[in-house]
Amino acid sequence: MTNKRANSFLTIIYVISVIILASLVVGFCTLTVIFLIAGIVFLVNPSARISILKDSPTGIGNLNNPWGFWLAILLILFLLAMLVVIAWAVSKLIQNVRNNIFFETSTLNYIRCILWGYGAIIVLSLFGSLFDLNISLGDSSGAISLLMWFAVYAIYIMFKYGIQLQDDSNKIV
Amino acid sequence: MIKVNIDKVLLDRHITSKMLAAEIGITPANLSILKTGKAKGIRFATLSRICKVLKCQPGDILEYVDDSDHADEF
Repeated sequence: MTNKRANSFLTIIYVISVIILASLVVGFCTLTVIFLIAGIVFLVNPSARISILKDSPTGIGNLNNPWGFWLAILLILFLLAMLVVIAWAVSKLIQNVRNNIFFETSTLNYIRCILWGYGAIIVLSLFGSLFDLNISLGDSSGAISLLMWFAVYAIYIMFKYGIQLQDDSNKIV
Repeated sequence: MIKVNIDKVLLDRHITSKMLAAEIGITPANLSILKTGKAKGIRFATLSRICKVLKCQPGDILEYVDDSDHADEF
């Protein structure tokens, strides 16, 4: 079981991960709305198309091809969605460890979500670079590194408990 | 706490620890853990095999001792 100091630290990182999750959700929703409005203007107003392509947001790069532009937007939204999934899974994982729920299916599912989410980000970033879309996560890369550190810390606490269980099991004849 | 009095029974039956460990299918090191009181528990299957080899009852090798001075582990 976790001691008092570890529990306090888990509470702190849980709060931080929830704040990161909330900000990612807000960012995702905001970007979705912005891109939806840009999409509607793009379709409705032909004269605005060139300026939309030229004044592209930071992170998409210099694109003249509208299809490349919209593909990049979809990729960014999908990457952000994966970030939200990772942040949610990390916060739930930390919550489980705080409540001393270690080797249960729910914990394994959260770790699986983190693996799939981060794997998708790696694959999509490579995909984006293949098509020269120059997609970057910007300031979110710091948040994801922090979330990964939190996840590894939670797994470290689980391993500590697991070692204790193994030791007890070894002493059962 | 539960005290394991296997040494007395081994002496009565003229069986060594090594022979008993081989008969019940555990390592001498594991049997030593049991004899020295470091074991956290014993499986029923192991207890059954010990009783079969030593031709005794579980109560002959296990004894409850009131250990109020020390912290309860369980």
